Amino acid sequence: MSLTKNKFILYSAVVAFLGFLDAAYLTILHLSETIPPCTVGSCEAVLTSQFSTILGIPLALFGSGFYLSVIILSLLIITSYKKIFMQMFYVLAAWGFIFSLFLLGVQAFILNAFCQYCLLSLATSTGIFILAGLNFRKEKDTKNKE
Amino acid sequence: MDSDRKLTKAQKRELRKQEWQQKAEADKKQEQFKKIAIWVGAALVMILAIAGLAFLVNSSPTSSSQPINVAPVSDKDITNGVKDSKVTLMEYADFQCPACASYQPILKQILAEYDGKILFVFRNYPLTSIHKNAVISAQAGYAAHKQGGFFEMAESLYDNQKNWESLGDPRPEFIDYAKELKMDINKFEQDMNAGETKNFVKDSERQAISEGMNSTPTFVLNGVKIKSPNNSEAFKRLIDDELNKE
Repeated sequence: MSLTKNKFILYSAVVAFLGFLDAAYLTILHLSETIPPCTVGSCEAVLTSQFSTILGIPLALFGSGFYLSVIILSLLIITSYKKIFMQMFYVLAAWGFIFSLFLLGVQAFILNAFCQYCLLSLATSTGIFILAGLNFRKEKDTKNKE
Repeated sequence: MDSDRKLTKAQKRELRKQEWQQKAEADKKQEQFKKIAIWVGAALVMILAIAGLAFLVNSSPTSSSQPINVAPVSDKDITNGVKDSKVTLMEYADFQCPACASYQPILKQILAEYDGKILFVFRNYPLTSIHKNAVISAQAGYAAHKQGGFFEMAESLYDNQKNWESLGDPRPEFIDYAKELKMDINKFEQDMNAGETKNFVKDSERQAISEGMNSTPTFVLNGVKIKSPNNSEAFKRLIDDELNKE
């Protein structure tokens, strides 16, 4: 089996890597228990809120897992394409986007505070979602042509 | 060529087929190699990234030690300890800041342990742009100060931070703390809302900004802005160093 040349998937992996750096940074910060000092325009209000953990697990860890999964799936699609990988990729991209929108809502309407790291994560998950959409359209086009 | 001429058509075909197969095999091998390279490369990048981030968090210089020009201690300051002592520790803090709240037990321990040896100065730096109740909580602290109960009130404010940080009007909550601390409630309420109190907090905020403060808590030890120590042991070492200086 040969390598699949797919620029949308490749870009997704790169964007997911940025998202992973962001989420992993917050995870390490959370686990090292260093409460970030309060700075004007900072996100400590968000990072120390009750929404920062789910059942005691830092939300950032879920984020890291999400981005890591996207990276692994992207690499699987590129190196050993299977339809199931592609489908999982679409589901994951959509789920990440919806969850990020939910977290944006929490910041805007419940916490009334924004965190630049969380907004960066929204940007990367939106990027992955758009790239997944573009790839889906391309797949459909090639199928129709056949 | 002589040998070429001797080959039959079938043999030639066989040879070509072999060549083609060899090439396909080589391609396949190369492809395999590429795949392995991609995975190994990706794994290496991830490991490096995580190690780099861990390093970044551990060394994160939120504020490095540097001399800073702060207003000298005056009668207006909220203090605890001995005036003219060898060591003066200042804290610029905001009662609504979770990081400041996390320092409350550390500072309490330090004030008890170095009682009579150091001067502790509390300065308000309400971060009004991110904490809506920062100013009013600072006013509650000042009202308690007027009755000599600032540090007790500070402890109540920090311990209950989660209960009042998002309230529209946290003043009834603060009055409850004053009651628990057996303060003169009428005086406390009056002082909390007094123009003088508002000016004090406003002036403190202006002063902190003009001194170049940009985060809370910020600790200034004998005129040097220090990197906030992670625990009481680290804090004590810094204070001991100052006490032992000739």
